[in-house]
Amino acid sequence: MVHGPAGCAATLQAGEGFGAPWVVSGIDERDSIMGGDRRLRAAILALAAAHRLSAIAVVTSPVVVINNDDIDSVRLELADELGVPVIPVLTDGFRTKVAASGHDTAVHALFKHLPAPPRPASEDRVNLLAIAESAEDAAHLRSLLAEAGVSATAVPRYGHIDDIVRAGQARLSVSLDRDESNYAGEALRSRYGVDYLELPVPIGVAATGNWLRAVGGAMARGNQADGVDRLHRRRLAIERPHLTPPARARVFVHLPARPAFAVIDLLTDLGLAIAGLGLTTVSASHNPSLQRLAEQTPDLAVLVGEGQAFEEVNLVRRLRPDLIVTRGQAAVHLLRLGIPVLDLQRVPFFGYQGVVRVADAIARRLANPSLARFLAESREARYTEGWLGKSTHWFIKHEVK
Amino acid sequence: MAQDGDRNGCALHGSVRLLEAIEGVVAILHASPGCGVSAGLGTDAAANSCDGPVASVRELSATVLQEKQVVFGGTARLREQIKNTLKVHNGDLYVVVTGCVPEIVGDDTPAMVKEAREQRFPVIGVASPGFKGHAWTGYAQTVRALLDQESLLPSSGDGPAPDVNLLGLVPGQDAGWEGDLLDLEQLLSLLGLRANRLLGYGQRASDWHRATRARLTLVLSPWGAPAAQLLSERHGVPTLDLGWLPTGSRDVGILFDRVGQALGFDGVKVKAVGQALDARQRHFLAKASPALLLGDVQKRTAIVGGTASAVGQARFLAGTLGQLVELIVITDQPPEERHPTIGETVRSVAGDDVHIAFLSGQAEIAAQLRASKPELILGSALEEGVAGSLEAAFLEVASPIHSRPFFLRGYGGVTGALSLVEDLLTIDQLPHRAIAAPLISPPLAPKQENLS
Repeated sequence: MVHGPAGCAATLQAGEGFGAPWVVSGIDERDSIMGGDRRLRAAILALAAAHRLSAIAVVTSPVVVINNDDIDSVRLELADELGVPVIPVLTDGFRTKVAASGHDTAVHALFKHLPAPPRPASEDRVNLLAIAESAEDAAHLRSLLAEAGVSATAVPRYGHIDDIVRAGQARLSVSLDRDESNYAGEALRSRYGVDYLELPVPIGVAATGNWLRAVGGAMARGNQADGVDRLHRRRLAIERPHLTPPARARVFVHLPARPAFAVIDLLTDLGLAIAGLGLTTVSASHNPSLQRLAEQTPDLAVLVGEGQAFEEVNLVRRLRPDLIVTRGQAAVHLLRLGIPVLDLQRVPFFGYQGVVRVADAIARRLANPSLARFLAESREARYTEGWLGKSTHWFIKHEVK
Repeated sequence: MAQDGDRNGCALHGSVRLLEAIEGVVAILHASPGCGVSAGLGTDAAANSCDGPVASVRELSATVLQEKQVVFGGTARLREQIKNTLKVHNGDLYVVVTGCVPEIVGDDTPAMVKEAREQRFPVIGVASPGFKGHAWTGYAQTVRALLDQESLLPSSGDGPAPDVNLLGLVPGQDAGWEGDLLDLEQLLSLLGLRANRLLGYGQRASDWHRATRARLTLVLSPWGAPAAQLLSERHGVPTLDLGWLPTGSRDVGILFDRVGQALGFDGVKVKAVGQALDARQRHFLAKASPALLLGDVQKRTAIVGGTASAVGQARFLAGTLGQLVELIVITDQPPEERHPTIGETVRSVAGDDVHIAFLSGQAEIAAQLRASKPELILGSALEEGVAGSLEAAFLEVASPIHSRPFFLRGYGGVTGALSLVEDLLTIDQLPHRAIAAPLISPPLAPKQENLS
C-alpha cells in the first residue's frame, strides 16, 4: 500500500510479475493540507476487503512525511482489527539519493514488524539473501546449492511472507551482493542468532566456486560443493570455446560496486579489456577492491553516480569503448553514441550459467552493432559543446552542498 | 481517491511526458528523487519497453531534493540546477516542472524562473504537483500553461501558420497518441489543411508558438478543452470540440464535415473526400470479411479506456463492424459535466442499451466486467486477468500496455480502424458462448447521427 499521491505507485504498475495486490492512497490537494489518515485507513480496508492477505506494508511518500501524518495510530488500530501485521516502510524519498537505501528500509521494516519465528534457529537450511538480484539468478544459485545437498530459500525477495518469518529458523544466511544483503544478514544474526556469511559476489567461475565451497563448508557439505564446482567447470570448459568474444575488446562497466568488481574479473577472464568503470555508489568498504584495481590499471577512468546521463555521455565519448555493460538502465544515451550496450537486467550473470550467458550476449552485441551505429548518425546535439569539452567531474565541485 | 492497480498516474507524470514529447524542450524537474524515475516507468510501461522495472536513464535534469531543501527551502538548489542545465543541455526552451514537495514547502519557483528569464534565457515554469490530479490533468494543465506563456516561447521566424491545432491526445496515457496524431495530420491534409500536431516526431516549441495563429483548434478529449478555451479567448482561434478520436471512415467523415463547416469549405467537396475514405475502408473490410465471418468475431463487447479512444472505438465497432457493444468503461475520470455528452455520443451509434460506466480502479472495473460477462474485452493490461477468468477474448488497447509496442500503431482514423480489425482477427477468439438471455430485439439498430 503506497501512501501518497497516485503517481508514487508507478513502480508497481511497471513491476514485472508483481503478484501481490496493491493500492495507492491517492493523496489529493486537500489531504496534502489536512492530512491523509482518512485515506490511509480507507485504502487499507479496501485492500483487506478484496483479498486474503498475510501482511500489509504501508510505504510512505515525501508528502505524508512532510505533513507528519499519523501513520502509526491508523496502522496499529487496523492491524488489531484485521488480524494481520501492518508494516510501516518509512521511505521518505528525500533522505538519500541512493535508491538502494530503500532496500534497507524495507528489510528493517519486515524484520522489525513481522512476528518472530515459532522456534529458534534449528533448521538445516540456508537463507539466500536476495535483494535486487533477478529471479533467474537467485534460482540458479539455489539449484547449485541443492546439487550440493544444501537446502536454501531466497529471502526477502522471492520469498513468501512465511519464508521471511521462517528465515529466523535457518542455520545460516549467506550474502549475494553483501552491500545489499548486509542489513538482512545482521538483522537475522542479532535477533535470532542465525549465522551470517558474507562472501564475494558469485559472478564468474572462480568466485562462484569459492562461494559454493564456503557455503557448503559452513553447512558440512564441503565435499559435495567441491564436486559440484568441478562438474560445472568441466561443462564450461566444453562450452567456452564457442562463446569467446573478440579478444581485447574494450568495455565500460557501470554497475553497483560489488557486482561491478566481480563482473570486471569475469570480463577479464573472457579476454576483454576494461576501458572505464562507473559505480552507482562508493563507500570506505570498497577501498580494498578499488585499491587492487588502481594497482592493476592505474589510468582507469572511474565515475561514481547513478542516473547521471550527462556525465556518462561526457566520459564515454572520450573513452570510446567497444561495449557498455550496465544493469537496469536502458542506456539509450550511450547507444546513441554508437556503442552497443549490454543491459544485464534480462541476462542472468551470476554463477556458472552467468558466464555462458554473458559471454554469449557480449559476442552477439559485438558481432553486429548496427543499431547503435545507426542511432549515432543523428545530428541532434543534446549536450552543449561547452559541457562535452569539460572534465567529467566538473559539476561535482560546484554543486550546492 | 484510493486506487488499486492505478492506471492514471499523477499530474507530474502527465506534465513530464508531454514535455518529453516536444523536441528541443528541456524539462527541469524540481522534485524529490524518484519522481522522474516514476514518470519514466509509467511511460515505459505504456510504451511497452517495460515489463520489468527498467528505468531507462532519462536525460532529465532534476534537483533531486534532499532533506536540507525540504527543511530550508529549495530555491537555491533550483537556481543552481537551472544554471547548470543551461550550460549542459542544448534546448529551445527550458521548463521548470515542480512536484509535490516544493509546492508543499512553498518554494518561490516563479522567482527563480523570472531571474533566469531576466538573463534572457528561455525558461518558463509549470506547477505540476502530483496531488493536484492524475496524468490526464497534468497534460491539460501543462498544455494550457505552455500556451498561456506563448509570448515567452521561441518562434522560429515567420513560418506558415498552421490550419488546425490538435489537442487532447495524451502521451503515455493514450496508448497510440503518436500514431493517431500522425494519422490525423495525414487525413486533414486530404482537405488541404496543415495540422499542428504539437507533439511527437519533429514537433518543437516553435510549433506551440504558431498555435496561436491557427484557424481552428480540434479537441479530441476533455483534456484538450482548457487550452483550446485559452486559444479561443486570447487569440481568437475557434474551437471544434469533438471530444473523442474519430475511428473509421464514417467518423472521419463527420470530422471532415464539422471542420469544413467551421472553416467555410464547400460541403460537396468535403463529402467527396470523405466518400473516398469510405471506399478505401470498404475495400479492406470486404477483403477481411471472409475472415470476419469464418472467425465468428461478432461478439458481445466491452471497451475499457480513456474517453478519446474508448468512445471512438465503441462507435466504430458498433456502427461499422457490427460488434454487439454492451459496456464502455471510461477510465480517465472526465469532468462530470461531460458525462452526458460522452454517453450520448456512444449511444447515438451503439444503441440506447449500451452501459457507460465511469470507473478507474482495477477491482471496480473487474466487478463491472464480471457483471456484464462480455465475450470480447478491449482494455489495458490491468483487464487481462478478468478477461481470462471470464474466458473472454482480449485485446490490449489502453494504457498500461504490456503486450506489444505502440510506435506508429494507433486505432484512430481509417488506417487505425483497419489495424484494429487486423488485431481483432489476430487475437485468440474463444468459443462463442450462448447468450444467457436470448436477445429479444436487436439492441443496436444503429441510428444515423445527426450531423448538424
